Amino acid sequence: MRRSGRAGWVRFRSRVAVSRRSTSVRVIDEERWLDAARAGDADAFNHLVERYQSLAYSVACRTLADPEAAADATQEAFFSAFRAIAGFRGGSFQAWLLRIVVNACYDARRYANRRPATSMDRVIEEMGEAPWPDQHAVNPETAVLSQETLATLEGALAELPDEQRLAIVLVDIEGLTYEEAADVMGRPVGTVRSRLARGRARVRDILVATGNLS
Amino acid sequence: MQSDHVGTEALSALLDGHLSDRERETVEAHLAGCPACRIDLEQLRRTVSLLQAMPAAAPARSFAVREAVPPARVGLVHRMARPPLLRALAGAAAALMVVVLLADAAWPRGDVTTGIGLSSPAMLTARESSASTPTVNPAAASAPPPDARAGDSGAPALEPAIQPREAAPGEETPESVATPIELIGAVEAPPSLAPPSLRVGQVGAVFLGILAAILITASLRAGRRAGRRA
Ligand SMILES: [Zn+2]
Repeated sequence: MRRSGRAGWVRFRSRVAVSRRSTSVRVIDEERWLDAARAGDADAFNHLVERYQSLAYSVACRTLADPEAAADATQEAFFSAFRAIAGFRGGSFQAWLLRIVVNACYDARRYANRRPATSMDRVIEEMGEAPWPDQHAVNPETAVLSQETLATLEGALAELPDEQRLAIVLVDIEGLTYEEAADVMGRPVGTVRSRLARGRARVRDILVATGNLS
Repeated sequence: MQSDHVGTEALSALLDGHLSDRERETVEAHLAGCPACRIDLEQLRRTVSLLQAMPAAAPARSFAVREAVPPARVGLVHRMARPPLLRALAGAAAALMVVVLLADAAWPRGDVTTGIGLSSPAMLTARESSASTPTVNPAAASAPPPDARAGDSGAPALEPAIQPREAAPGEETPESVATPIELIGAVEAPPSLAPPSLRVGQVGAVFLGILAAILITASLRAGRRAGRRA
């Protein structure tokens, strides 16, 4: 009884982070591209862009809740990363890149918050009135979200403190491990665990309060 | 049992298999006998499930970088180069150009003493010469063009020069007539007032027009760039 129950509790991760799809070939490719990119080879760097842009853009979208601002922030992040690639001292390129992406998002948000019109656009978008680009649920295990539930989730994410949101985006939405998320956030794994738990509990409360979860 | 429920963090970590064996055993033992915590866990599990079901946002374009990324792409310069700002500046330059042209057209004609007389030299000449030709005109006409700046208006442009001469009637008339060289010297100063100020208006307008054109071009370029990036 307890055994079979636990099988249901431990969730199945259908969406895996880029790094965990890695085969040894991918890793070798990446090392080669990184070396060339450090020497200023834009083509080599663009192989990395191609590999990570979906993840980077998705994180930016969930962080900013604004597809266009997210695209701008992602582009700026890749420019910044290319300029700074010589200073990348090994470790996880994914974590290094995502840190740059997240910082670009926070910069963009700070800048946008000084302009009322943009803030208003985002408020409207957070309410779910603007369509999300390219809607396709990639998780076959879970039911497709209703528009209302999706809007509620987006609104709930927007309400969270930055670190709680980022933990949810990285672990739940992008499928990173706690360790990978900790690397991106520059925090101990224990901190990721608690931020994630608090964020999830807050989202749950909002889902219950809005009748999306009984 | 009711006094020591499982905390949210432990439930959340349990979902991810991030509890130590000992922690997990304790939590599972509690869950087995506590319906309230099982409901908590189930709600949390479904919340995570819904979060996982959020659609991935696929980028609509590539974020590839080009060979040389100009350092000015980010930061203040990049932000300054936004189309709306450039358009606003272009508009301001164009508006200023119109103002200058209007001021040019509306300025009282023949008001040479102010030095800002912007009216056409021909009109000036007609009025001035009728007023003061008798006394000084012969000398002025006999004098060579004192300055190349008056070249486009030719000899008549010298006429406005007479005015300041009149403004100092206390001076000995014989002197001005007797010494043509000094007269030329006196003539030379005023043209540096009237015709150049005529230029200030027109040159300023042309400059502002060019500035507006440059800014509009830049805003279009920035707009295209923004369009590419979006
Ligand atoms: Zn309990």
